[in-house]
Amino acid sequence: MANVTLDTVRKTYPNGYKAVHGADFQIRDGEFIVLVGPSGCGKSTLLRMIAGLEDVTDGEILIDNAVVNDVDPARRDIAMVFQNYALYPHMSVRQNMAYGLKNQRMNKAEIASRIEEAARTLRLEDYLERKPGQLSGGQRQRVAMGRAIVRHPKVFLFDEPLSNLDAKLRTQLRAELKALHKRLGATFVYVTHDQVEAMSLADRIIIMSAGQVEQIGTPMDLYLRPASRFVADFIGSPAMNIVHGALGEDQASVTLADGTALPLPIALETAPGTKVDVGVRPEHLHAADATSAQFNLTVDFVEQLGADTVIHGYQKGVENPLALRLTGIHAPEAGTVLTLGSDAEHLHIFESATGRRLN
Amino acid sequence: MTDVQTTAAPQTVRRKKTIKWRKVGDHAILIAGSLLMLVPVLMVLTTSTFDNVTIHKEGIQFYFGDQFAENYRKAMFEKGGFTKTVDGARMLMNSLILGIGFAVGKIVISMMAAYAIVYFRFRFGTVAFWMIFTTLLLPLEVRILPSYEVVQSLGMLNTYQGLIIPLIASATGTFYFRQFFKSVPEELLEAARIDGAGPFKFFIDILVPLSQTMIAAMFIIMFVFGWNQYLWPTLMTTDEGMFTLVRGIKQIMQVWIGANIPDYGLAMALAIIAMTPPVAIVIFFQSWFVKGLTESDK
Repeated sequence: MANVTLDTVRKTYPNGYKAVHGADFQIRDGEFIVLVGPSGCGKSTLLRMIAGLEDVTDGEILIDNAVVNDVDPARRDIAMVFQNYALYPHMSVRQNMAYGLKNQRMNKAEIASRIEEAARTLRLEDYLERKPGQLSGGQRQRVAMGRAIVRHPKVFLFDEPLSNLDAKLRTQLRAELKALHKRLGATFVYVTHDQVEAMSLADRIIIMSAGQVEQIGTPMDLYLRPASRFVADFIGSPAMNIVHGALGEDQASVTLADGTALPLPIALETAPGTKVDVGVRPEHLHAADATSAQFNLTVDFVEQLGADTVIHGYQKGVENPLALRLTGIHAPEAGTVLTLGSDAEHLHIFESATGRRLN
Repeated sequence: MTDVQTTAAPQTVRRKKTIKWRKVGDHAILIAGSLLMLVPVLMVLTTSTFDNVTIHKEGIQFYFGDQFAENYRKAMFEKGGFTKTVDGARMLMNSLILGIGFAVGKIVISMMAAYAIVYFRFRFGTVAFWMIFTTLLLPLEVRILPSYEVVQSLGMLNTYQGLIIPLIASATGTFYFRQFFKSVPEELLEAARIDGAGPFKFFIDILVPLSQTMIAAMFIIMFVFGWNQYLWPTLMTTDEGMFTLVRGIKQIMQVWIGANIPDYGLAMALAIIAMTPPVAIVIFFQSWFVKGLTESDK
């Protein structure tokens, strides 16, 4: 059990590529932190620096308030689970779990009891004598978790552990991971590119883009008040509708590309004429009468998903296609025009130039 | 539906026939090929069961004679050569020592070299690898005189070390192991590092067991290669007690003193004996051998 602190951590690869530009945050003891972002954003590099597999170019990493920059991975009291499991193919499940403990010169009885315990937790008792090659993907990943659990580490590190599994298994293992975290009460740092995984697992999410931390917060923080256009776009599926325009003279409307005005239910303090991006989530659009309507969506096609319906369409003057998500089953004809509005608290306005949030 | 079936039936029959003919053709070629390879060996085997006079008078024999036990006993246990100090058993042992020492030495050296090249970043590592690689182009014969000079000045002529050590640096082996190590996923190394395995432990605990099939394949190739060495042992050994089988066969044929008939039967028997261990090893390790060269799944 420990907290992890990153103090302006930077990573520059020998070829000059800057993977992480100053990550600065603290992970609290027992927290489930998910690092999320598109591929190449530096999230895995950050995790690998915490693990000690990658050198830190600048800044400090502290585990349990001790600087670990130059500490060997084996001595950092961490355990890591890899995307491709990284099990030793020639060893049985039991030997895989025991290997790290043997190297610590732990006595045999203690090793056996820890393996027993981990196997029970992960329902691997029947597979202990098998080789990884005889196990399914889900079982292999459970063995990899078992190998981490037996070490009783301060911090668990997960590098996209579910990415190689099929959708159903992923959901199942996600639930198991959540339960495991609850039971162990240990600090989990989890890297993924899948926002659904991030939303469902995390206590707090750290969202990264191009080596920079974009926002740190609870899943609902990120969903309800994205700090930047990048976060707004990344979290949520289907993605947030974004409308480009310039802020009107009254500071309460946006002039779209073709000159029509999109009224905003709120007034901003930004200078009129500033280029802005107005964002609203598909599920936050609702029917409105013609007088209060912000959007006139012409239906293009409809995705019926059973529990809800996603209507894709377009609006004159708006470059991006728009989407509307309704609960239940709906089937509007293509070409129908829907008048839609949104509420002030669900409107996200970003400055186009910086992507920064304005409201 | 019935129409389709009735028209389809004769077609399948016809097709079966053509496949059959093709198979006969394939087999004919394969059988001819194997006969071409096997008949000479068989002739050596049959001829080795005759006495020298018969062979000298009538040439190669195509059936078994009555001297089998006698010829092989002589080949194995009768001291031969000029000095009458070396018998077949001794030569067989020398050959085995050379073959096994050669194979084991090459595997150990090339695995360690490949490990260094793949897993450690050091100055001129790539240069070192390409230098090793280019020596693939140089056959032993090119460097045989300098090598002889070195062995001679180290006083290792007529010793097993002298026979084996100068040959165990292997570009082929290093190259194969390098390719194999490169295919081992990086995460395995990282997992091992987190599990507290240092460079030595990782090599012994993870890489060596993973390379098992590769090692077996290398062992066969290198053993046969070492066993069949002729020029090198010929240069390195002047003491008949150090002769290898391959070298010894030649020696028998050379003993042609006065009106003596060469020991044809003996030489043939010795040739068969010399052939047996490599064949046995190939048959024994065959499945591993194929696996080692084709397996990429880890």
